[in-house]
Amino acid sequence: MKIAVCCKAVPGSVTDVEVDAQANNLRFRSQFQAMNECDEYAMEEAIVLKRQYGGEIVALTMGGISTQEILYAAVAKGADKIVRVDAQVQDPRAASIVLAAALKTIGADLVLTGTQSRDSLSSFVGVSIAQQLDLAFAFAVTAIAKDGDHSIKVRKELGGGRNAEVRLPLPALVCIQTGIQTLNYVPPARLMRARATPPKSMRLADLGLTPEDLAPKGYRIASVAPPQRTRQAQMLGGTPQEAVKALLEKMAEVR
Amino acid sequence: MTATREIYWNISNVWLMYVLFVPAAAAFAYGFYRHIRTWGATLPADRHGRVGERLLGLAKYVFGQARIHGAGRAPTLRHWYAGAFHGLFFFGFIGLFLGTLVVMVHEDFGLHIMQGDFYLWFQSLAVDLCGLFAIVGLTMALARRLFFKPARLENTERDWFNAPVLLIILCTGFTLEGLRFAATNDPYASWSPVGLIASRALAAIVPAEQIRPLHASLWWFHLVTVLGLLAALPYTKLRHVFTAPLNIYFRPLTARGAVLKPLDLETAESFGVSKLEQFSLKSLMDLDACTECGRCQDACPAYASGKPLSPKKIIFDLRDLLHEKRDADGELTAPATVPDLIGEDALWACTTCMACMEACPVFIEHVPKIVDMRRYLVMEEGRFPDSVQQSMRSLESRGHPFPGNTTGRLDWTKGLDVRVLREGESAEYLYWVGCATALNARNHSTARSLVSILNEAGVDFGILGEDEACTGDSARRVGNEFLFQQMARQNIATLESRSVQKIITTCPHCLNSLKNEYADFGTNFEVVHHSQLLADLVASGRFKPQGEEAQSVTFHDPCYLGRYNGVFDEPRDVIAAVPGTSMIEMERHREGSFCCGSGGGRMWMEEPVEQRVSNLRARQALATGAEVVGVGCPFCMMMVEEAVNTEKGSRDVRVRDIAELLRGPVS
Repeated sequence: MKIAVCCKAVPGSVTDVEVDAQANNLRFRSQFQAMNECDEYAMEEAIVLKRQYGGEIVALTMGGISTQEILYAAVAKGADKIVRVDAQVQDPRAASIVLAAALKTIGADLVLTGTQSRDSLSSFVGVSIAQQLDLAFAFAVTAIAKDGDHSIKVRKELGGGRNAEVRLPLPALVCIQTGIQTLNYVPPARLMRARATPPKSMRLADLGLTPEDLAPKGYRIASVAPPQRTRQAQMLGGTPQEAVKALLEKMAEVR
Repeated sequence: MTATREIYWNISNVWLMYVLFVPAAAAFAYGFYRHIRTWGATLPADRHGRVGERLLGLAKYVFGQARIHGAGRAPTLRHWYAGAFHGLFFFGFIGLFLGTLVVMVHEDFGLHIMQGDFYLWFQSLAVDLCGLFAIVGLTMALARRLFFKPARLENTERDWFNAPVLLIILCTGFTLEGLRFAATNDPYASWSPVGLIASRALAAIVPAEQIRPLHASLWWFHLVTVLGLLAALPYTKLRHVFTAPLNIYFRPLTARGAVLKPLDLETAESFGVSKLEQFSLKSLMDLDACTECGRCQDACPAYASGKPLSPKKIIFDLRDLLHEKRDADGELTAPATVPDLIGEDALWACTTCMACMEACPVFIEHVPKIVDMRRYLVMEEGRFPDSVQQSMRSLESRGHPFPGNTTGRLDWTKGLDVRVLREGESAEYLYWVGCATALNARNHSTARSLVSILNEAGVDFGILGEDEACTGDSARRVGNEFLFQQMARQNIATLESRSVQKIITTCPHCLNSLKNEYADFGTNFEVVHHSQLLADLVASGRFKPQGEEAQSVTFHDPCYLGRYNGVFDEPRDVIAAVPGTSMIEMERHREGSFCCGSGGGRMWMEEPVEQRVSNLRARQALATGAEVVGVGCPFCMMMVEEAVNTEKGSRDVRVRDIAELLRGPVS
């Protein structure tokens, strides 16, 4: 089984963020770049699947040269091949177009991604790739097992503590829920040796894409602003009975 | 007539002595050759040179026996009984050895020095008394093993060899002298008081006609015993007579805090130590220098708290493996890796407090060995406790080792006048706040007290704010040298972008890394702990202490401030400067201090309540009856305060940083 894992390089800390008003974008001050934690779980699951069923793992990322570091981390964890698309794209839809094009050249049986990225939290990229490549899809998956040669069985979370077991024909794309495996610390020695694995680098042109293909279609970002503190939260005091009464009155007001 | 005596009186066929000497000397030489060969060839670069200092060390620690008796050191490092008996037989045997040399020079080199006053004062009186001292010393040592053995000592068959054999040699020596006096009426017998007493006693019990035959056979017995001991010396722990001075000569001369050396990450083929031969020459020499005194074990907080670590046992286990390897000519049967032999639990129990190394009379280096094995486990295998993995991940992605932390690095500054230095800006001092001070709410008041004192005293300083990252101290201690070097390089770039030259820290761990360890990466910062700067400000009158009301204070020496960096007096000076305070010392203080339990990455490991080092320390602090436990380290603060609150019962005991004590509460 050939497994591709999409992993994103994200700022180490996302609490120290500024709005870049000119570019309508977020700017993170963190000096650290790390593999997005949700994607690490996808990577970890890919390793378990490879150990179980054999095959190879291709780790895919998109970004500038500095994002190569997380690909080395992927090799240290157990990826066989690493691919970087040299493009700076923040919009999730554009990112999914680039990644889908790259995945088409890789030709994996199973594509794994995390459920969301720490910096933009959109949960958009996985499902969008699946739709573009016409792959079977499952979200928030907590277990994967092979089911015959051409399909897999997955358990996915439905929310509210309920799960569903679903059979997916291959090729498929699965968004991995956090906690599916325990994250193993990558021994630094392996990380250093991983630098001997050359990443394959692709430009947008290699994928047949032009900047126009990545321009927002059907929507545009009007502005980016931090949430406003409205200070409208009110604390209801008194006995529980009084608080409930006050709450019901408020609800009546809103209605 | 000149005073002297006849050498080889009553002995014929003396040539046989020279013949017997040959195999004994050969066994002796071969024994040491095998030891030296198994130590390997890699003596670390920092152990070469500075010959004068190294020779002075021999004078102090071998001939001065400074670490055996421990006079002038912290109370728990003083051993008057062991110091006395070791001194007695050490100098006793040196005298006897010199006496034997005199005979050799006189007889074999034909240089007739053994006569006249020298014969009477030295060869007779002094050497006689040396023999007596040695007998007294050995008897004291044996009595201790028999009747009041400290728990740190183990009695094995080996321990009943050396002292009894030495006693036999000494007693037969005096018997021989006594027999000669009894037979010859030596006119100078009264210059050898012990020999004289022996002769009187022997004359009373040995019939006159048997004195000569008895003397002759006893002489040969005495000789064979001496030569036997010489041959056996490298094969028993008496080898320390030679290996200990060697080990002392090659001791680290750097600050204690600089003993961990950087790994060359670019060229090394493997990291850390998994096989015995990966240890350095000095590391393996350590193993053969051990005298099995067990003082390291007594000093160890991990051992005291019931964890599966004894520094003594680590040395024993490694030594036994070394000897097995030596005997099998390089082939090892037993376990795959050295860390597995020692056991992961033992390796992770170490707080790197250095109490073992401070206690060792022969400068064995336990902590670097433990870190070397941790380096293998972490760097090559990724085998280390989950909670520490979380910390390392946090260090990598967020620059501090506190997973789940939501405090900002500037939160503690609210309402205070603190300048954050941006790139290109500079100040006389950089206050390096440290993650444990900036991110833990309890320690905010330490930083606030310090800053308000600095402002009042008019000290020009700034901080790095969000650009400060962990120094990498705990990464290095847990063996993650890769991460440590990454943090070090990044921090050095940050510091250089502010042209920093002088640094103040509130955290002794930061102090140690910035001062001792970053120097290996080409920096030359002048780093002081806040206790040092505060003591200065008080002494020069730039800050007038206000402080709290009358109170008794005991001070807990942080390992990384005291043992690592030799700062013992300044925190005490600061406490003494606070109006109304009186100081009470704990039994374990200064270089004998007992760790709080948080060093060496232990901060991030789970510790069952009954095994908490901090609770032991809190009990020691509470036993002084002091109302305040003074600390000088944010990690100690967290550990000791929690433990004091657990252990204090209904008493009112507070834990305060020295800056808080000096400043009083800052709102």
